[in-house]
Amino acid sequence: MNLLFVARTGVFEALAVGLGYLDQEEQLESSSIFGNMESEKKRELIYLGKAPDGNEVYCVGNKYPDIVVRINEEIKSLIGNIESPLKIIPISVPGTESIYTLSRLAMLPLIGNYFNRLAKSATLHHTDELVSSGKSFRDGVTSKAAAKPLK
Amino acid sequence: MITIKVIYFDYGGSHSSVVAAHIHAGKLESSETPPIEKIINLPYFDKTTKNDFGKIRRVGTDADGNDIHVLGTKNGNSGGLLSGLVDAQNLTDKFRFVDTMPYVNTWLRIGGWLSRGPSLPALGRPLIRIGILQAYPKLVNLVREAGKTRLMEVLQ
Repeated sequence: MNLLFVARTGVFEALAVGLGYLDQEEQLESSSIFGNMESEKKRELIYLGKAPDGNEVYCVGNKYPDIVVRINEEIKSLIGNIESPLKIIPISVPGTESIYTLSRLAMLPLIGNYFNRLAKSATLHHTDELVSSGKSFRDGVTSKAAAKPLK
Repeated sequence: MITIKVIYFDYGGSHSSVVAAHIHAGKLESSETPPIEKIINLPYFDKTTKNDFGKIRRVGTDADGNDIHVLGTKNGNSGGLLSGLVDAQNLTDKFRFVDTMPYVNTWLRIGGWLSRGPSLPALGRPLIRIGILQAYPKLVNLVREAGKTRLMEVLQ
């Protein structure tokens, strides 16, 4: 099974959660993806790596994570058996709402870099919550408990 | 015969994608622009609700047996996401996503928003009529490209 973490921002929140899942949270600040607005604008899946449990982990940003979940379910429903299905985990960590606004402002020309730094700073401020939600999900998956996305 | 799912998508899955999908499925003429009433009476045309976002709806089948669908993503830039979703599941050969957003002109944008956003079809539909008639020849060309099979691409 492959995993896709979807948050309102891909290169801030979803990246932090995905790295938490992979136990690579110490790489957040140094990651070339962190705060990379070119990657964010493309809205493509970002491959983060393979977890010890064999899951391939991706992240992406989308304003409506629930719609991404729905599209994926629809794709699956059109194809019967899928050998390597993708499980989508919508992420919403309380207190991180400002990161999305800052990320939008970070796309502005000239002054965007200033807001990018603020968005990075806000993400780092909430690293513990974001990373722990990734770890919680991983523990839920590996223990085969009913894993429930955070709301 | 190997067939694929061809999915036309745009923001709302209500106007340009619906028309393109019906052209591809042979339900609208590709040689000339059909009467506007025929377009307006298409299933799904200017009828979607917010609950339809993310829903892949079947329109028909093309001459090669490929299933033709429409999708509204509630996002103006979803090509990378959709390709990524199928690539990550090794389904690349089974789907073709066709973005109709580049053909959404100002008339369609404003009319579509008025009709589907604040639910003012009486205001929005006249603009949609103008917009879809302007966009129609371009959508026909898009469908011609999208309908090419992989073999045709290789041969060209």
